[in-house]
Amino acid sequence: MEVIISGLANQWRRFITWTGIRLQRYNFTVYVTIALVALFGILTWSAYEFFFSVRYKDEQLQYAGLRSQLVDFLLATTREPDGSSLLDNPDDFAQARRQLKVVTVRKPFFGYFLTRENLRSFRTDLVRPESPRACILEYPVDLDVVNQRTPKSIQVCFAAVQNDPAGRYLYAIIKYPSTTVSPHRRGQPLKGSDLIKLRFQSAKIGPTTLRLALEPPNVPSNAKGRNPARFDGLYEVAGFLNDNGGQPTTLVSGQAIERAELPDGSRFVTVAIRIDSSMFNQRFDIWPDVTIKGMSIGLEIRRMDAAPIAIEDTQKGGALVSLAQAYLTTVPSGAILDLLNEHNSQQIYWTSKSLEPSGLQASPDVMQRFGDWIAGRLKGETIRVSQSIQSQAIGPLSAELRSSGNVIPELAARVLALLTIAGVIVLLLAVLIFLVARTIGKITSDALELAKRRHGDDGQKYKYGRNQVGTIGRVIVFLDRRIRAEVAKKLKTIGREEEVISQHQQSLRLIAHEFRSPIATLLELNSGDSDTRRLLEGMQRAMEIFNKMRDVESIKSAAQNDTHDLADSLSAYVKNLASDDLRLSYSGPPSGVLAKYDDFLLDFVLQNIVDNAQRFAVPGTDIEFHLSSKGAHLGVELVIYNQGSHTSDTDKIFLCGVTTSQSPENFGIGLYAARQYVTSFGGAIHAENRPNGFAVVVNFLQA
Amino acid sequence: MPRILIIEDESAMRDRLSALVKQIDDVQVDCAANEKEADVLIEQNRYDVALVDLQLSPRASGQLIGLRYASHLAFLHCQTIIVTGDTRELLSEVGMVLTGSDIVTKPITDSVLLGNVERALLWQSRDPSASATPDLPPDLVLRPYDRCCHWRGEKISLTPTELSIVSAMWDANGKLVDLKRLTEKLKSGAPHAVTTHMTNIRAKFKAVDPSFNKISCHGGDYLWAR
Repeated sequence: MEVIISGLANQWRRFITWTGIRLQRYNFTVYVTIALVALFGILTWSAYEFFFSVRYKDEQLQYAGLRSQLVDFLLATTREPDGSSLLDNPDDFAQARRQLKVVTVRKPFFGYFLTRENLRSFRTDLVRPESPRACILEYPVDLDVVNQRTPKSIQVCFAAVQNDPAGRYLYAIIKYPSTTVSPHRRGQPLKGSDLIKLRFQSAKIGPTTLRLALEPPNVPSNAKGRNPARFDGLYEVAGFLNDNGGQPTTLVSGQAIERAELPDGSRFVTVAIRIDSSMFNQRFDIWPDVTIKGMSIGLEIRRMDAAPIAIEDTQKGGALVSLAQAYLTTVPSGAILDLLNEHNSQQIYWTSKSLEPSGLQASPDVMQRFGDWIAGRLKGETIRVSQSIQSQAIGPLSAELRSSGNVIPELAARVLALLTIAGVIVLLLAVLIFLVARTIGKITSDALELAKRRHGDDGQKYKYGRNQVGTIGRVIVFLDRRIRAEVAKKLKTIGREEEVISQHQQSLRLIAHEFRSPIATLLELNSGDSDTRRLLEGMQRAMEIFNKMRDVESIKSAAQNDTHDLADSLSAYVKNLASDDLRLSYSGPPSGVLAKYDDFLLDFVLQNIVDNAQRFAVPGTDIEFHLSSKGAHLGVELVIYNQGSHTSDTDKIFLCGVTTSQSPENFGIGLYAARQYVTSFGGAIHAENRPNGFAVVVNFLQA
Repeated sequence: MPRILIIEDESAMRDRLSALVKQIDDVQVDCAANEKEADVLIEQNRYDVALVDLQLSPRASGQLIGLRYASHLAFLHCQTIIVTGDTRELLSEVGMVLTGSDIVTKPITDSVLLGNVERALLWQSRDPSASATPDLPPDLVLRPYDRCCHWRGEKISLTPTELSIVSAMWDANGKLVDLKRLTEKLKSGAPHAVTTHMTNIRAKFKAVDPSFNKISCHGGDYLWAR
């Protein structure tokens, strides 16, 4: 068991190591992908938060709005001026435009304009005919008056009162424009007077035509009194059931008034009649039954001084009020309104589904549609508000207004759409970067393979590749070939030069061997003081200088420049080497001046400078070491000064073979080597004549 | 009595070398002017020190006959000193072959040659039990009298003079070794020669170990850092 656990631990460690290496290798891809995924996540989260917060707020607003709209609707439909309610008869009062038919009203509205009770106070201009607005249909007509066509309308209402205590009557109100009424004189034919022709058409009853003529009222003369004009415009309505102009029928009664009405003073004739149902020769079990309500009614008004007005029985008029109008007016949100049986929600008395949606529709541009589409995918709950109402005609009702709840505001839809687009772009960008990183990885891998020369034929792999990888691969191959060709060319050049140098060195070796040994032998053979020996010694000296120059070059090439504390080393140098014969002094920081040089070769440099200074220093004076740091750019300066004579050419002393010493062991190599070594440090050396003395200045690179 | 063999084809140089070596007390000197004489003497005698001219009887092929004798004598545990007038590059190559041979270049300085011969005689008469250098770190093998130096398992070809300098620095036990003491190790020459030797030593150690930094120079003194 322990072995198994150990094996699993090893595998886990290897997996962790492998994962770490892979992550390190693909760190760019990983970091960028993580960043983009994080950005995508933030955008998605923002869109989600934004959408749901907006939807929540919108739902709250919609709920409040729907509640307000429902209340407005109910107020508009249940508070008719005559105290009636449109909800009492949704079937009849639903449509804004309908054909002229008999509608059912809850209470009677017919009454004579002139009665015994108001005989004394009657005035035509004070009469206020009443009729339920929901019953009235309005038809536009043109009134041709002396070639001036004035748009007017005619209002018509046919109604029956449910459970009418007065009997089974049809009540009608007809209001039409007029100029001057041509009344009918009793006993006269109808031909020369204004006439209203009503046509009732029913499959069960058959066509029935009723003519209405306006006749002067039979007002007692004593009732007219001092102001008979107050009865002007009042007419009795006589009904005729046949075309021969015979006796009026007693089944029809009513009155009419003609007067000018505000606001423009146009003249209208308002006819109020009551028709006994027996006129239709039909027995009705209930009142009003479907036969009566199903009758189509046509209307024709003949005016003697104007063009006739004809309303076909199939022509639709506009209701003054209706549920549809009330809905379109009070529910601008377009929410669906249902009038339901409160106890049975399946029984729908009226619904607004068939109506065109009204009001608040967002502009249907692309962004809105896109936002709505997204919102549709994230569709929320339907928002419902309902209100119970009591209809005296059909009992308890429930008015319910419901909204789909998925229409988000325009601004929100645009923001949502833009966030979604941004998210998609980020996602595409992540994919693109992943593909690019993969391509770069492949290029890098191939470039590495090329660099390692693992391909048998490195060019074949990319020969026919025309994509980015193939192109870059070919570029790398071409560059690789070019570089290798240049390297090979330079190698050949170097080889040739090395060969020349080798030949040169071989020649020098030959010279050295052929000259040095024989000269040494000749010197042995010419031990005396002769011209020959002096010549031989000169030759030997030249060979030695030549040999030592080669030594200097060899040592310089092996220089190891490192960082050293020059101040510390010089302090120790002066302390170690100072003696009675060699007076040395040092001024400068005791330590902490870092410079780059080879400590072995610096020792050699100092030995030679000090040797040189010692030869020219005034006896009893110090050879002074002054060290100062000039800053990072100027480096470190060491001045070795001795009191003594000047030198005419300060640069010449650093040339090879130049020496003032007469010793045969002095070849003039020391200061030459010192300059070579200091140069190899990256520094510089020069000599200066200074007041009362001579100085060698050495500059070092500051570390 | 120590025996010293001089192999030199130029008679004047041979005579001079012989005269110089004979200044050392209690030594017997034999001279060979060519290969034949050298073969006979080496066959008949056992030599403690040999001075060999590298360009003995120069050949058109460039073959160094003296190198063959130096190598053979070293195999016979004879201390060899190469005498040559050749250039530094060639001597470095020879030094790679003849590990532990000192090299004296022409024209010869008497003191330098005598210093090398005396050191060679001293090493030849060494006490083998004293050859071990104490307290050596595991990565340094230093047996100067066996002409052996290894650094971190790699053999380093040091001349006897260079071995003496390394040994002297190691024996200083982490303290600075002044230039005068190292100059004495050379038995001849100027302080400049020490710098040259130190540069060569460092280069040889660096050749086998690029990170080598044990030797440093401070105030004109040298230090082997322990």
